Amino acid sequence: MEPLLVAQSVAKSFGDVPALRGVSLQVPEGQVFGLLGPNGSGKSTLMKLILGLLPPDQGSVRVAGMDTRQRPVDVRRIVGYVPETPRLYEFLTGIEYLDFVADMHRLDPGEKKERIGQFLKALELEGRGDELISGYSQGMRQKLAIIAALLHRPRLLILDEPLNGLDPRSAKVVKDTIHGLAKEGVAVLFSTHVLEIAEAICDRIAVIDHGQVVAVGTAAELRGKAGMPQSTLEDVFLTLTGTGDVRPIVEALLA
Amino acid sequence: MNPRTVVRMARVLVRSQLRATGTARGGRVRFFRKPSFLLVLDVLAFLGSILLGWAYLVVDLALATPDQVAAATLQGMAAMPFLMTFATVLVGIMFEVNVPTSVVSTDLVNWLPISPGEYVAASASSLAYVYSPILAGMLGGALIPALSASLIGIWILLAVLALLGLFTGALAVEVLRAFMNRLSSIMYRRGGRTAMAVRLVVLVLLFAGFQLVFNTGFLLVLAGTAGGGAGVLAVIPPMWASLAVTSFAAGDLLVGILFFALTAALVVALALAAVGLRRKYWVPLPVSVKLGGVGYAPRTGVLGRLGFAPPEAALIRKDLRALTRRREMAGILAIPAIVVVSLVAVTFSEPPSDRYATILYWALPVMGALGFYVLALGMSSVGQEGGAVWNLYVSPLSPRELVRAKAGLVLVPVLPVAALGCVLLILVLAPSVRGMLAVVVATFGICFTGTFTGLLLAMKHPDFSETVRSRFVSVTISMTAFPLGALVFVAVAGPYALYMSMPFAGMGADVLFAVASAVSLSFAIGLTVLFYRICVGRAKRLLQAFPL
Repeated sequence: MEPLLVAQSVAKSFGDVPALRGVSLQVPEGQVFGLLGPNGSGKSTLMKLILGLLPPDQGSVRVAGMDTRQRPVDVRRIVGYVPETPRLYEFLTGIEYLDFVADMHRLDPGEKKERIGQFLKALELEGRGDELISGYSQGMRQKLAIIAALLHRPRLLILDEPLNGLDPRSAKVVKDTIHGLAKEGVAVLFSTHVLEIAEAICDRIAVIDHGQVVAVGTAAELRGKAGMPQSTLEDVFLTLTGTGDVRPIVEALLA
Repeated sequence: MNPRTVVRMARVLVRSQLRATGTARGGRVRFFRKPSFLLVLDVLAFLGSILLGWAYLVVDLALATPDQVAAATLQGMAAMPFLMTFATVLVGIMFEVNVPTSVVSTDLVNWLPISPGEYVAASASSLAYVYSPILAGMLGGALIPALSASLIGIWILLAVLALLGLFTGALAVEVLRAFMNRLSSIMYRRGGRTAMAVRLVVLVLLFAGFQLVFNTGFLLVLAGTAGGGAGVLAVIPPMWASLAVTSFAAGDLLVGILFFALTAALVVALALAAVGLRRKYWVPLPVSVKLGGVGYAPRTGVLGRLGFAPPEAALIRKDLRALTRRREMAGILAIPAIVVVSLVAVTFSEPPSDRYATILYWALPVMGALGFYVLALGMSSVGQEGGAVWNLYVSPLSPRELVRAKAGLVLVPVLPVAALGCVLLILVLAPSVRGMLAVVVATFGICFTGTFTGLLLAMKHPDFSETVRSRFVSVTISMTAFPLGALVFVAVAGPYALYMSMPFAGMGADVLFAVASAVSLSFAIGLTVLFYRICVGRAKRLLQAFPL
């Protein structure tokens, strides 16, 4: 059976600047797949291609056997997405925003009310639901975006730095939720800069650099590939992306 | 005040306006997005209007005596500085004050070492530069008639006064911006649904009031009502530049110099007021606003009963909330008030002399206001999503649903108002059955075609950026939309206007009316269907590639 998410030889350029060069990856149901890479390595672009937000120049992306370019609406019915910096409708209240998202996914009115209430309570937004989003902190917006991505029970969850701005307790709730969803069979594609989080949450990790997958596997497999079995994931990451020695940069900044 | 800082800041603001669309990713900046493009536009507008001025002279004034040519030229030239101010205030209200509060409060300028004075000077200068093609067009149009009437000295003076008129308008817009910040701060502190509604009403009144203060027709009526005739104009500040032109032309140098000095003093006073207000009301602070109420949509609401699918209804509800809660949308809501005020004020000084004029006198404000409103709202409907547009891209929303929802946003609130407008026209004009039919066909035809004209532009050229000078459609489109809307307006309502203006009698009237109705209906239905189909195609393309 085909994995839930299959990206094959995906390439994308913006003008003359190549963002992705033939990236392939597969995420089966129930797996948390991490994307690691330095800034500008192509992680967010890859996520947008998977969502069908951008057309690939080459290659294809299939979600549950559906090509994201040919059946974008059907794909979006089963995908939940949290962008790196979620821009929300500031003139809506938290509840109005979630109600809007639930209606876009045609959720039953009774079910949507129940799920919105549950999520608001779990992420400690219960008493703030009737406030305009314009007054929300970054963490509250992030929580709202995460709730919006989960409301319609997606089969594939795409999370671009989802723990940005969250307090430790909320981050723990989100991490445990991701684990719980994976156990229920949800495939999760997860991008982060925090290597400890990647190691703790992800079943498999792909390291992306300059638009290419330079290594893929479990954290232990990545250490093996880098020939650094006892090192931290940070050292492995820096070695794999060829950015190990940062001393000249620090010296230049301090000069 | 550091002039270099002002120039640099003004350059950034002009670029922000020209590049607002934000779709050029990783590409080179095209020429028409560079400030120098506006200089080319200035030259083109100047040269083009020289031709128009020449054509006016040889066609319209071909049989006029030199004195008549001089009088007509002088009349036109005297009106130009005032028209410049009026036009700048009008476009300022429509396009320049729609900055989201979040952008105003986090804007780069708030934490750069720029003084309020420098910012106001830069902002007013950039506004004046962006709308300078209007000035170039006016001056070009007046040049040949002025040369022909030996008024070239007055023309040079006019150039200076019209430039002052342009800055008067630009600075008035700066004053308006500061008032809006103040208003937002007050309302944010209060919170609640009532405060949001009050803010909206006050903003609309503020816009309408500002437009009224700089409206020629209204001021002339005011002058007439005051009983002083032309003499009263001297106490109306926006008229001083025009009085300077006429005084110099009449050889009254002392009075001319006085009005010239007063015009310059008006610019300085507005600049000081704008700087003072900006210093005081620099930033509206977004604080927590509790609205109360549950906020869940009902199982089958009014929109559901009207035939909208749940995603369409959700989108319409969300956009209607945006319309009433976002201060940058108040400019669009104020359009009907502005158009009605403009048209009524202009025609008020000359009451209609016959039945035909009476019909136009009443029908134009109603249909014009509706037409402008649906066009502006349709045009802004896509770009107003701003940075939050990703919400639509990750939702299972088809292109058809997007178009239906955006059309619903315009038509759902407008159609009841259009029906009221028809009732008003029918009550006031007491027309025959034919007249009633014409009113209904033209009014609803304008609503539908105007909506889809606006939507067409919005789907093709949306501007999702939320910058200091963001718009909801690209800058070029926002300038060409209204002439296009006027063409559609004429196509739908024109056949009836032609029918009314034709002298006829007997059986011919019925045939002519049937022809006018058929043509009007054909245009209304044909354009609506055509534009709807194009919109769906454009929406499909729009949803294929995330624009930000």
